[in-house]
Amino acid sequence: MAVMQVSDLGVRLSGREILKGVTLPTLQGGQVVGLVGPNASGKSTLLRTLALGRAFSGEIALDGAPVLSLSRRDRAQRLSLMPQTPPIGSTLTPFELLRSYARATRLSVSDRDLGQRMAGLLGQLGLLPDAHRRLNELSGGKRQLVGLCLAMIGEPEYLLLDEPTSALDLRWQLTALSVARDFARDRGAVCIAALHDINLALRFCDVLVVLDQGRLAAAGAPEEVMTAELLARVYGVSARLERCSQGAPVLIADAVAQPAPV
Amino acid sequence: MSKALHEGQEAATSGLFDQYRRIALRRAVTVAALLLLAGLAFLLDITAGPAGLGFGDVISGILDPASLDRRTHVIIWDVRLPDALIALVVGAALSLAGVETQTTLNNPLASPFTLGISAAATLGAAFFIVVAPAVGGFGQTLLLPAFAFSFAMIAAAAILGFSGLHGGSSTTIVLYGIALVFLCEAMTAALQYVASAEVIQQIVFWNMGNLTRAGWPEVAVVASVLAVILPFSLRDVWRLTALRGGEDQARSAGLSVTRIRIIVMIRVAILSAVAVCFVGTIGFVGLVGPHIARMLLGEDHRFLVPGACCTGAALLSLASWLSKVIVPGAIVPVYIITAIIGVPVFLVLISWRRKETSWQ
Repeated sequence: MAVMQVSDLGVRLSGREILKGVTLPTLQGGQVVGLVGPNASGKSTLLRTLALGRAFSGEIALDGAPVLSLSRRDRAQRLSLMPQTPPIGSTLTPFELLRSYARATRLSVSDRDLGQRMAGLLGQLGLLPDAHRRLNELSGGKRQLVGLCLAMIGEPEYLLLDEPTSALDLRWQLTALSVARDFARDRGAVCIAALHDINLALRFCDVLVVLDQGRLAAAGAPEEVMTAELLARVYGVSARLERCSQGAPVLIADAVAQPAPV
Repeated sequence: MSKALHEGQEAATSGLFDQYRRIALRRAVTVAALLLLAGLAFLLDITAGPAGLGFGDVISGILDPASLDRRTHVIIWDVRLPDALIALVVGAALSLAGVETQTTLNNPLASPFTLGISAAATLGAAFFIVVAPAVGGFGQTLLLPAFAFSFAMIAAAAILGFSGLHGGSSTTIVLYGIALVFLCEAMTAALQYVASAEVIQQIVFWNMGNLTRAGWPEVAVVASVLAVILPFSLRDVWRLTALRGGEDQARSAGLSVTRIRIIVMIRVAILSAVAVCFVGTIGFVGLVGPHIARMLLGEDHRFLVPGACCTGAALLSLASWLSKVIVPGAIVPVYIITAIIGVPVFLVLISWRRKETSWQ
């Protein structure tokens, strides 16, 4: 079961301090962690620091071992990032791209098992009919789903998703996050997803981490974290958490509470 | 997993792979056809020339050299074959360098000369011609390409070094390449400004890509370099294919994009410097060859890399044949042919490709 610990994390980029002393609760395998916060709060930087070995201060440990002790290849196999930008619209097909990723990253899996994994992922995300269509013929949303397949093809222990639903319609938002949640549950993986849609975060995440201007604003169970006070302080909106007819929490944003910080 | 679900997944996997196998077979056949086309273009090329030898004479002369008289032996074995072979290997080398440059720089306009290699080689040749005009014969045969090659490699090293200092992004490499082209051209112009009319003529003639100045040693060197580099390119086909999903995606998958780019650029620099130092600047083959291969074979580099070698070889062989037959009794420098034919072909390709925006 995967376990991630992040303490006192600091990241500087081009002389600017992007993340400042971020300490997360211990993240356990099987959990879906929602990373939320306003624009430029450091969500993508946090994910990229975890996945890509960007220089940082503080500590990141996977299963108790410092992440810096891992080789580049080991790290890439255990941590996989789905970036914000979907695969570009080249004349490759999703099938070719997935296969080339698996082989370029020297995934230790037979052709037969790889084929089953690819078919499984493409099927779950509704991409089987498009498997042999060129990426430049697919919509932005479908290419985003291909990006999710790419992040999951190596079956990582830590699945990091940067705004995985930004180009998707309602149905595929729910499908994509369901697939990611099932992946975490079935394999004991940690899934961290940066999300702008708080309602999706409330629905799918076990833990919410709220960042504000590079600092940790709050972390914990979604309903405990998403208070009216936090939403006013971090997002500058007047909002409330209500319960829908089925008892699930729903966020309703009423108005801008204060001017956006400059 | 239930039996029905398992069977469903098996069927989906099998269907997915059956369709892919058909696509892969079609591409393998296309690569074989391109190889055949390059072979036919090569045969066409060796049959052309002012000596008036027919196709049958040339083929029987190659198969049975002992039957040839002295004059025909020299024409076939010392002129036609080296000329045709250098067209084949230089075309393949430039197109291979082109396809790798375009993929790693994610730029459809990139060619092997984007790094300023051609301009630097011309500067090297011009420098040698101006500084050592008295050196002739064997010295010139050996030293002139050596100077051209050295300058080209220094230029490539400078670009890779500078761009490496600034993160090695594709934009940085292209911009440094453009800057270097202007610098080398200005320095070549400065050398021409102080040179005599005769020396200027030599420099201009050298710069015009011309396959007829190559002999067996040049063929052997270019073919050997191609034979050494090509396996490394083939070893990287999965990485090159993965790069066509986008740089951000490739980095996120743990691929070291900067490292791949630098290794590819070293290969490109060696291939194009070797080609240009023996035959001068031959434009468009390294640009158009890869585009034709991409249109026919898609972007799976397992097929694209060998396919691009074949299209480049076929293109330059056909251009070489045309350069011999277009003006009866004379051989036009192939540089002129590739440029005159390459421009309209390129314009057609651009209008064709607009329908399928493959580059972002």
